[in-house]
Amino acid sequence: MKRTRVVALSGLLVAAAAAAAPIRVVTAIPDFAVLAEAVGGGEVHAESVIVGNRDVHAVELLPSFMVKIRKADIYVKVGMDLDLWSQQLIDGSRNARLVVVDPSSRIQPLEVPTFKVDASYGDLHRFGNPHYWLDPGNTRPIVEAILEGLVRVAPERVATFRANAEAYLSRFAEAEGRWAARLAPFRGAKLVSFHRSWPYFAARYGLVFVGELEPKPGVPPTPTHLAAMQELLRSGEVAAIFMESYFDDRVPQMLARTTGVSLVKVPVLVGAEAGATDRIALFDLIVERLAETLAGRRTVAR
Amino acid sequence: MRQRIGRLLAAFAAIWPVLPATAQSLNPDISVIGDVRAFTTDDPNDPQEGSLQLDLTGLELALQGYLNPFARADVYIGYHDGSFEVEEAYATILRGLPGGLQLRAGRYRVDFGKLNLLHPHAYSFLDPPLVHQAYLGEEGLADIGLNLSWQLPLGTAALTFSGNLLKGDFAKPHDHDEDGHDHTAIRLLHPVAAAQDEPHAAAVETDLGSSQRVSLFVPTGTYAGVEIGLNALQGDLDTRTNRQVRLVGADVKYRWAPNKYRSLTVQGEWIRSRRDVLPDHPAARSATNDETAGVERRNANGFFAFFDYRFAQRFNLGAIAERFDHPEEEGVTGKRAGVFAGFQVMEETTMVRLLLRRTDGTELAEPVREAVLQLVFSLGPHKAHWF
Repeated sequence: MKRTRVVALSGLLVAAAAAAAPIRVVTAIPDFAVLAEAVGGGEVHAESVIVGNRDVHAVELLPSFMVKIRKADIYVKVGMDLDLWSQQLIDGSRNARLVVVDPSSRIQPLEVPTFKVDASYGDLHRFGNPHYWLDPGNTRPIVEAILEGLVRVAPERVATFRANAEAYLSRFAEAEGRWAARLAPFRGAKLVSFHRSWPYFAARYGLVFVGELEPKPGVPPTPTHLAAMQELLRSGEVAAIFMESYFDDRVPQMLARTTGVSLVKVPVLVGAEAGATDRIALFDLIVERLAETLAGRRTVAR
Repeated sequence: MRQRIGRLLAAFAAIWPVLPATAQSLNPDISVIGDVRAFTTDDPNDPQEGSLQLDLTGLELALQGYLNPFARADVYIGYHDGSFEVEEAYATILRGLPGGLQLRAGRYRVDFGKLNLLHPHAYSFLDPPLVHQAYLGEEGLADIGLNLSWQLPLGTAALTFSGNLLKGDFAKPHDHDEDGHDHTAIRLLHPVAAAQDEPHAAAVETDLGSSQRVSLFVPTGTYAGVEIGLNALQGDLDTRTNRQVRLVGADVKYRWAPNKYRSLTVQGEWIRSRRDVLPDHPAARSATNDETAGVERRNANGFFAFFDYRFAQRFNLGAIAERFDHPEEEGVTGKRAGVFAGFQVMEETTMVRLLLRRTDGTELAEPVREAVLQLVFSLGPHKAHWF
């Protein structure tokens, strides 16, 4: 009798521990980690493979990442062939029960090539431009994809997760209204970026990117291409060089100096700067810096 | 009947546009990597001493893909000196085995040390270190076998155990590749006296061998870490003469890569070889009619150490130092030092490397100096490199 009670009590304790255990989520980029924690509330522990101001295209595959993924319940990749390294990490993790979430399957891709893609186009992605997380409007499909993954792992917590997701998206929608209003006066402004990272952002706010400092995606600037860009910048059409902060800024600084076009440098990931603590703070930074520059209040990049 | 045929045709018509895409998605990833070199040497034994020589040192075709959700297969076919060979062909069960075990079967590069896992075209210093050429084989150690590995997470660190059951081809005498461009290493590895009395490869009988590796990776920063490994290998050189080989080794690798513009790799490996060798003159054995007569046990040591620093997105430079004792020939040693620089033409798909090196050894009357310019191009998907 006493033995039966002990076994029953142990079973209850194990079940309680399992119920209380946070769901472990590993994400390719920190933006997805903050969204997973927002949806999961206190019931999700999320961490990202990429930390800080890094280029998502090039990641060092450290065994410590595999250790993280091995213990994880969910992995959230970027998809669209941007983070091919994610699959290598998943394979190296030896985790057979891992739920892999790909939010890119829920977004409307832009710039999908209608021709055979090869290396002569640089790092062009055959499924379309993969920088979809830089559109605030894609936050909803990303959150929904993460929500679906969490529900697969813990279906009993669906109500909590759904409520958390809606609360977050409601707060995010308020911020979206603010960003739209802030950038509304600059619709049609022509910009140059370092990498082709902004088509989703541009489509959202009516901005026009007329060139990149990279001659082809992923190919560092060449002298010939820079000469052409210099000419474009001197034409007076371009309002600003809008660059991703993980790139070396020596070339853009030189172009800004020689052409008089303002340079604005922004983070593209949560955590890439001290102030970019979550998705709302990240877009606050991006939108405010761009708006200030376009309004002519500031001409020097941070 | 007619209705059924109609339904079948309709169904076929419905899936017809899908078929080509589906078939394509099931194709493996295909890559081709070429290694072209221009080089010159002041080696007086080289018939083209002092002149510029050109060589297609290697061409590698890689076919890679998933077999199912749990396993993948990798095949590498190499072209060297006018002939093709299967460098690697293996299947790996990645997940689903108990305890997170991974299982690999086929012909593969054995995880004896960290460097041997890489194909030589990935080396900034162009050729396998002398100690690898002498103890593991001129292209490194690859064999048919079965590998089982298991990883123990220790916080953010990882302790990995790996064991291989090997066919034992690694224990056969080294191929004497006169056409290879690393002539200096060949002369160190195949001293004239030894080459004359070398037992014929076909006459050698080997048995299964095995190797083991334990490695500990410890992160030292967000994008930095150090890995320390201990390696052992044992096998038969020839079961008829009861000659055996045993290797033990230790390796360390540190890598720091704070961003895409800078990285530093510092890596080194030490190997100790214990090898049973036949006496120099077969007459000593035939006199007693005993195949095992006069077999001697030779101990030898070797090491390499290098650093490789990327100081801009497309530029790197470094240096390597190496030394080895010949595993079979008493008193034969070699040492080499080199400096190298690399340049990515646009992207990592096209690399140009320059190597200047000096080789000295007991088999060389004078130190040999070489300059090698290498072009490595890669077609097809290029994936991120493991730590």
